[in-house]
Amino acid sequence: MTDQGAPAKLASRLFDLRLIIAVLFFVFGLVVTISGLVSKASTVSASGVNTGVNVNVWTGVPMLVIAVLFVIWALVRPLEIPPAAPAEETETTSS
Amino acid sequence: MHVLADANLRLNAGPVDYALIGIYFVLVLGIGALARRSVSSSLDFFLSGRSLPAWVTGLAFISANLGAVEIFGMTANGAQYGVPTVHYYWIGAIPAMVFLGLVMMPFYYGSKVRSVPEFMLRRFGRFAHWVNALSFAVAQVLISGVNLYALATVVNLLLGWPLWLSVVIGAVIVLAYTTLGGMRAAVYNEVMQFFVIVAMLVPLTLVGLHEVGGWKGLEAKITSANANAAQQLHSWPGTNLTGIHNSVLSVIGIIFGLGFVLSFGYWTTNFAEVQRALSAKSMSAARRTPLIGAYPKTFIVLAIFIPGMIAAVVSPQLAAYKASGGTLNNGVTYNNAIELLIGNLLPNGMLGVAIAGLVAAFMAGMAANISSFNTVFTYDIYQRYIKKDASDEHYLRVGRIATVVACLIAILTALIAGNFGNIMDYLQTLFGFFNAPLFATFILGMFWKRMSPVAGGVGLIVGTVSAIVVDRLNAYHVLNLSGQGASFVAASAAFVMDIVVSVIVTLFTMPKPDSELVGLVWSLTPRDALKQAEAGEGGWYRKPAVLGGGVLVIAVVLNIVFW
Repeated sequence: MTDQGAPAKLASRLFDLRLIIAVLFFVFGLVVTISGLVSKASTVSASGVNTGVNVNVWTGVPMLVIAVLFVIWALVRPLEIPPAAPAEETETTSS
Repeated sequence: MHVLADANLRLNAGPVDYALIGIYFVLVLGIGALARRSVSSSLDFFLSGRSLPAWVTGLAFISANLGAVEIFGMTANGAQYGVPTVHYYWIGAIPAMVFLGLVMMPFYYGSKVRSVPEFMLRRFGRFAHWVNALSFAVAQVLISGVNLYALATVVNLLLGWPLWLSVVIGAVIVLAYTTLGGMRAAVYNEVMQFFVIVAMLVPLTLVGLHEVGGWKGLEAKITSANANAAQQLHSWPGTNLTGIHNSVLSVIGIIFGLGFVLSFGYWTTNFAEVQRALSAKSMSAARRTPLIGAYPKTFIVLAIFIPGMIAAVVSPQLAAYKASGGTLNNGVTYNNAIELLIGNLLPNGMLGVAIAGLVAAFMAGMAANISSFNTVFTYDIYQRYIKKDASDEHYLRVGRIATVVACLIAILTALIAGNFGNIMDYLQTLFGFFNAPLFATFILGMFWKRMSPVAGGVGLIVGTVSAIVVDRLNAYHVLNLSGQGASFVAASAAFVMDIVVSVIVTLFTMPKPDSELVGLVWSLTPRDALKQAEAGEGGWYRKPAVLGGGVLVIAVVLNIVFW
């Protein structure tokens, strides 16, 4: 693609998919973990089977970890502004 | 045996669960609104401006397929057939995805076509183009309707909402983000959906395995409950999956029918898939799209067929249904495997995540259908045959209108889809009719420059008709194939007939001049162009051949583990 102009680049910087996924996992992880810690019923499934495992805590905490990993990834390798015309690509023919 | 009504599948979703589902929808629509700012041309709308990194397109590539067919169909296969379900992945999808990335993508991305039908147009001319564009557009709209219907039945079963309400809400949400943000919104959402689906499947698998006492416990329970336990616990020869009693023929059926024809046809020529790779930012990223997608694809089957097998053990209703050989009428079928397992194992909280995951799966599938439909409609039908030289803005507007119309047709299809029986069979049948001959024509056309335009069109028609004939012969019991074997045979017949007819017709018709085939046919594409395709973007691990080889090795190892 040819140059899209500075505002578009700024927008795409704010719009980093990794951060959106981090938000999703953070909120999911938080809600699920808290409901696991608060509710005594977390070892009992929705249809009343006792699995003996606090599923909410066991899945909520890994989700929080995943959220942190995505944030770290986004911080370590921030979105690059694509160079105006990549030398190896011949992308000027797009209509 | 007590009779069970639909209400037995009803999940006791609590406020927490609804809150989690709500949060998910807010993010889905948020992505649509954010992506809107990046749409300024039709190429932005249809192919995301060819700007996406490989990991994004790679995950979207498999997510586009991780819809209704996959989650419900494959857990159902797991519950019914057991381990042989893995063939859809390790024999089917993986080699085909590697082939797409290594062999075919240089032609797709390198020729700068904007759709698969457009490739057909340049290689074979108008006739083949029409056949491909039209059949694809119709199939996508119908399938998106089926996805929508499946979504509505699940929401109806789990939460008790009326069918029409879920159909309309599902369609409106998909419509909102695909018309606003175009391909970028669809792809970003597909990636997010992928993670939500994984967040549903992986805990479900682990809790399920804990419940049955690990893999050994599952084996013991399957063995004690089933006469054909050995077939269910070993991937080969998979006679229960194919319905072909002879072991050798069954293996051939799996490798040639499922592995080669059906899967190569689906993964390499289905524009809903290929479109994701065409949205990548460079040739290297486009080639890596299916290769990166192949890695999670290889492992996710474990979190699909194992829950299916567990469901048939853990759920008393499904266990009773399976013990009866699928004849018991107790309100559940194999297609309910995943819902039953979710209800049996997950507490409120994770339940909300799981329902969000199921809804995500349907919307991913439907959005892929819709976004590939609007591209083919706008570029291949509207721009080519209806209004040729309009402004780019005009085509962008047409694309948005096409999206709206497609969603409306999908709603109608969904509302009448209840009349078709097994959704999985219906979709398989559709894919078999269109994709297998398409793959034959493609592969011949890419490697045989002599193949004429007329042969391209006639081959497609004869191939499709052959698939329909085999399907009908089986439907009227002239052929006796149970299980999934019928679609394997239909696809193989379509492939062989397409090749034979194409070769014969070519010998009596005029080929295209070589000058028009540069970049489209292997022998006429400059070696430099292919060399450039070999170049990675730095790092040996980004080389397509390394990525492709690596995933094939993993698939072979897993195949041996589950032998």
